[in-house]
Amino acid sequence: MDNATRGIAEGHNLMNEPFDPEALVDATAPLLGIAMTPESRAQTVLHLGIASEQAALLLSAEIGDESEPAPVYTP
Amino acid sequence: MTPLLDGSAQGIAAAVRGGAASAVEVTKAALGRIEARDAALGAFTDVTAERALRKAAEVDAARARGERIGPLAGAPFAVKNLFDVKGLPTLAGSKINRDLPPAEADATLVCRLEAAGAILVGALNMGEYAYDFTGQNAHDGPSRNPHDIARMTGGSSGGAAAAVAGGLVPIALGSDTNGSIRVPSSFCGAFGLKPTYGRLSRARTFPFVASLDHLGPFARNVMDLALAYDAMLGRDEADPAQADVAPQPAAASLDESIEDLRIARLGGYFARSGEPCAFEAVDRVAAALKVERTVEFAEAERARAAAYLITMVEGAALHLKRLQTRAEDFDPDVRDRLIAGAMLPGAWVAQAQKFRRLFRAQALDLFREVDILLAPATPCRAPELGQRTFVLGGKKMLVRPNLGLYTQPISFTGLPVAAVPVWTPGETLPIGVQIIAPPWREDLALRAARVLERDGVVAAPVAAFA
Repeated sequence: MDNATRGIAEGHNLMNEPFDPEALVDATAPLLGIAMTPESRAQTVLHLGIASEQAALLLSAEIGDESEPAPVYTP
Repeated sequence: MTPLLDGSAQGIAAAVRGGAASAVEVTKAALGRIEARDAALGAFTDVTAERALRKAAEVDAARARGERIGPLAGAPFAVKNLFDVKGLPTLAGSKINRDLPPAEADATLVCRLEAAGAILVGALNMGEYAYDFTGQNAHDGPSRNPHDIARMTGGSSGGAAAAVAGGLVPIALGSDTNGSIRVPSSFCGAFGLKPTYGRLSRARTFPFVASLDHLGPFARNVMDLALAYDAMLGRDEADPAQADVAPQPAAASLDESIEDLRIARLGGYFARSGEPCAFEAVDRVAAALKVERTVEFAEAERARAAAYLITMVEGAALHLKRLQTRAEDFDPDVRDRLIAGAMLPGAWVAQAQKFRRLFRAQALDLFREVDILLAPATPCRAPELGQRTFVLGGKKMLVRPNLGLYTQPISFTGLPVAAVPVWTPGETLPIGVQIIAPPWREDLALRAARVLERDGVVAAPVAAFA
């Protein structure tokens, strides 16, 4: 990870609840059967951090229990 | 032949129809131009010369027999290499797909453009598996911006925009999941059309995110864009995601007045975070269209977040087996985003799909008040090749995921968009504006684009790099 990228990763404010991308990567990579190099792990952690920011924003929306998702399957 | 190749597809077709040039002559000239210019641009990954000359000869023979030839007769076109082209493996910008057997049939949209008389001359460079806004490719090298070959084309349909702006072809096809037609249109100064989600057949193209994938054309003028779009319309049973909506051709109504259209610019999310040039471009378009009103998509930022997560998760699901078995063969910048996507909680993406329906309702509400919306296409002009970070809205960000800041919320709703290139006096690089229309009204976006083109506010000249 270069310095600029590290700065961005460190600057990420994760979700209100604890979100530990490093723990997530380490727990799920074996589950998914994905072998990771240290460089790949660091970048994956960075992208999970970005995703968690996006998710925090999304999850703060008031979406009622009866909302239907967008995809429509027509048999 | 230079004026024809620098001109329009419509002009080439008129010359072929009238006998001023044969389709074979035009094709040979186009192939010569690709050979001369593509080393500098990196736009093509395959040139289908033999096929092109054979098809061109068929057009000439049909004309000689007195048969009716199509509206794009003899006009060269090329396709992003995620479109199936019979006889070629469908690379989708990847190394891994080079091991696939050659496609057994052409993508539906390739067939339809050829049925209109257009001549396929090759397949185009793209960001790996379309997960890209830069136009760079770890395996084929970057496509280069014809207006400054040290800069990005934008992605992921970078080769398509470069081929059009560089004068290699008058029409190219790309895909747009989160902005992959509109971002390269903006950076390379080409017109681009992202149709309504579900409008054009995706059959026999390599997917990325089924919920969000669109296909559409690039051109150097609005009429060519409309002619290509019209030629590709129509129901295709081979695409289960295509909507059952009647085709509405755009070329015939292109010159109708837009006086009665209610046009507004998008404020809020679409008026912050970008460089001043992004908003100046919208100012110029808005002034030309006499737009005084500003409206807001209140949930645009959240829409972008939802699109971001759906993309990560569906993209990861598509590629999971390849990530497990051939991780080292991916572009690392693509691979690690996909791996992260495989690790995201399922609840996030389920919520994102629910939010998508709510945002759709907001969009439809907005279009009760207006007919056309204007927004920037990109937050900046083309960055330099290799640039990894930039500062937007005072925050340092990664370039690659953030060039689609303004395009992602719009494709998330599936709204049709014409991307139009604006040239500020004194600047050597263009920047695009999105002309956004209600669902299924591509014709309205193209009519507004046509007015801007006619009035000289937007243009897509062939780059003078050669």
